[in-house]
Amino acid sequence: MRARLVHVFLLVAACATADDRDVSAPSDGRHESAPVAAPDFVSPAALHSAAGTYLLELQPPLCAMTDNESLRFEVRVADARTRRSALDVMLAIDAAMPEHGHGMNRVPRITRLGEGHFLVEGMYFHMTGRWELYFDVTRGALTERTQCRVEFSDE
Amino acid sequence: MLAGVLIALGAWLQEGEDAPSVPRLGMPALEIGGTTSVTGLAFDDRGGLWVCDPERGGVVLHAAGDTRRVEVGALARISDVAIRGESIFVSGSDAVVELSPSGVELRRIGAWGRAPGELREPGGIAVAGEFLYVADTGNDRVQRFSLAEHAVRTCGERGRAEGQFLRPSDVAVDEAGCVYVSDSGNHRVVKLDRDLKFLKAWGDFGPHPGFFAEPDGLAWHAGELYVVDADNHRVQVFDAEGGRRHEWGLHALLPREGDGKLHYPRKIALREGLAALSEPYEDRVQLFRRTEPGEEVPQPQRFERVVSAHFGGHVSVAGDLAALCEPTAPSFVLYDVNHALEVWEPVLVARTGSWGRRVGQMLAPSDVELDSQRRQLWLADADAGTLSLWSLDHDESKPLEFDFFKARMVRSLDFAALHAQRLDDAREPIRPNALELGPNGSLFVLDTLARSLFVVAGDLSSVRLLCAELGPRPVDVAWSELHRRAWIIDAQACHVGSLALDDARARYEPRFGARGRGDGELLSPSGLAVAADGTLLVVDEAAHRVSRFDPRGTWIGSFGARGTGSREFHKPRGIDVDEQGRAWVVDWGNHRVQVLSLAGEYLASFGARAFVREALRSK
Repeated sequence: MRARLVHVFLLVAACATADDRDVSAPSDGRHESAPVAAPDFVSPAALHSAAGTYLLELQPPLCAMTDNESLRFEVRVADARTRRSALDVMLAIDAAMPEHGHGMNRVPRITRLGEGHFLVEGMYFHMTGRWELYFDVTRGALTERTQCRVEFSDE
Repeated sequence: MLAGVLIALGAWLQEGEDAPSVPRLGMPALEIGGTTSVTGLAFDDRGGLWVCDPERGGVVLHAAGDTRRVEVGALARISDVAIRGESIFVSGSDAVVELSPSGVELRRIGAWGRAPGELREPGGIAVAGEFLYVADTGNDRVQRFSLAEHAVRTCGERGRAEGQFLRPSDVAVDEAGCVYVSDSGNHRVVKLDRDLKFLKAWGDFGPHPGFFAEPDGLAWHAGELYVVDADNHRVQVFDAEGGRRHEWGLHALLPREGDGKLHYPRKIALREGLAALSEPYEDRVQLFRRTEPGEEVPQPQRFERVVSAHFGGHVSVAGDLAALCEPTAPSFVLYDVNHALEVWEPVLVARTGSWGRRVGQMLAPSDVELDSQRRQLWLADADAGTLSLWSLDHDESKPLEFDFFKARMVRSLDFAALHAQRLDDAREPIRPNALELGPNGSLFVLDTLARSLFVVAGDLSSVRLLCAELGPRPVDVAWSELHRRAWIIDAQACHVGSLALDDARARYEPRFGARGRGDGELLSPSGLAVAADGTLLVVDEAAHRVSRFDPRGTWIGSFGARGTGSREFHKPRGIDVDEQGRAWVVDWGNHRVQVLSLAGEYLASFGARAFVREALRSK
């Protein structure tokens, strides 16, 4: 039975953005490009990562998510300060139902399409109820999470 | 429906096991008490049982009509014993020694370090032919020493791939020379050929047959491999290829319960028709015999409901919350400590965690630290080599309730990746064993094996080495704002030392402490906290008590004794002091936290099993 997405919560932790980026420095010594006039990333629906370092934009957006269906969407990761695509980052995605003590029963595939640009395939919510989605952006040794909650209820 | 599932699962569990009529080990036969934190054991050729006695620094022979003790004074933290002819091999913190029957040291193998032939906190040992095999636990490898000539072969490094280990804890050798390794941190058994080349591995983390939770002791006997599955409280038996034969073990639920019940068994020794199991948690050895015709080994309780918390070694209390980690779950838990209930008692309000290697998951959380001002928590996972920062959504004004969504991960720092970028000043990837909130929101991170203290920026954005020359086994750190000093306790040297942070590179100085059971002496210090007046509270795991000192090392007093009642402890580990001046002691062996005044008056406890609560009510 298909279920209906009834709630989407964006959770942003109240933590200060770090000034010192030592441990997340790219291993090859490259640095983010300087801000220019036209930012890559302007969507007001973008998700802020928990410490405010990144902005994430999903296409199609979160509100289009369904359960019992293999999902395919793109994620763009931008530097929150410059709104330019984040360089040298990796993306991992996971989801869990903390109240039930389990995660997804399939592992989504993530393909890097370009700098800060990823294709996610095979995301699958196999139960109704409250899910937490985790978007983990890693640069160097430091991973920063963007977290949101979706809730599916039976139609 | 449920009954059908259970029947089907029961049939599956029986698959591959020997028929019950085949005599097999597992019947409780005898209990040997009076040992303290007993670790390794071994049978000699005459059937005598040699047992390590690490607290008293020796090995004890139990044989018919003979109990004999051999001192091993030159070896700290004795972990295992192996017998070959008249020679006694004993492993300790940094070496293996060969002793004569009278205790004369004949040979010393290894020294502290990471180079081939050096050792760090070796676990189990085995002697086969002309070789000594050592589970070099702290170096995540296995080493084979030739007893005939000066030659060593080394196998392994930290990791999970083929040829890698995570805290290997024991070795066994079969007749063909193949070597079996209990790869504890990876919850598996690894089989190597006679040249220590990888052949196969089996097992993963879990409670089901063929799975493990911290496998430890190994023994090869009569064509079978016996694996002590420590955190599953059982022994599993396999053939040489990992085919499962049978198992035994019933989880002890009452304090000090014996008669075949197991509680965190560690090492195993076998001789014909008899198995000996050490249980350091219970300070005892149990012997198990073969079944007689018509007898059946009591079956494990597979669907036992978890009735209590299994706290780790540290507690953090700040503001309206107390936090602890549960390494075996693995998870961390949060307790509200401020709500006005009729009887004051911390209330469980959140549990977060799942086992796994992905970001945000845990392998074996080692410490938690709260920062009440910033509403955040740090979690250290020494096995995973990570330090993560979590935000906490806890509002005192809201009704008191349990909430699975209270903690959210913000960031995670991977120390292996940090080391690969040479951004940590460390000689190897940091293993974060203990945490302490430092000045200006920074965090102290203690790495026991590296004997090093680091300071990490509160947002995990930078890591700096403070000192790489601590004592031989630093296990906890506490910050004194009053004296601007980080205090550290050392479990091996039994002393308390400190670092002043005025200099760029802090210098560590042992300040006070002596080994012993007397007033002001320490036997196995395991936890440390600083009260608001600058006095130090030291938890002593082996003495089952808490001692208080002023900063000059003058002993003020102690409280606690071994037991399950109030003001009694069983192998206590961590401690913290809250803003009201209450001491929170992780009474680890009783699976609870006790809250006491600094003078030792009982105030409350939580996380306990029902029997401990009953014991408290009867007081």
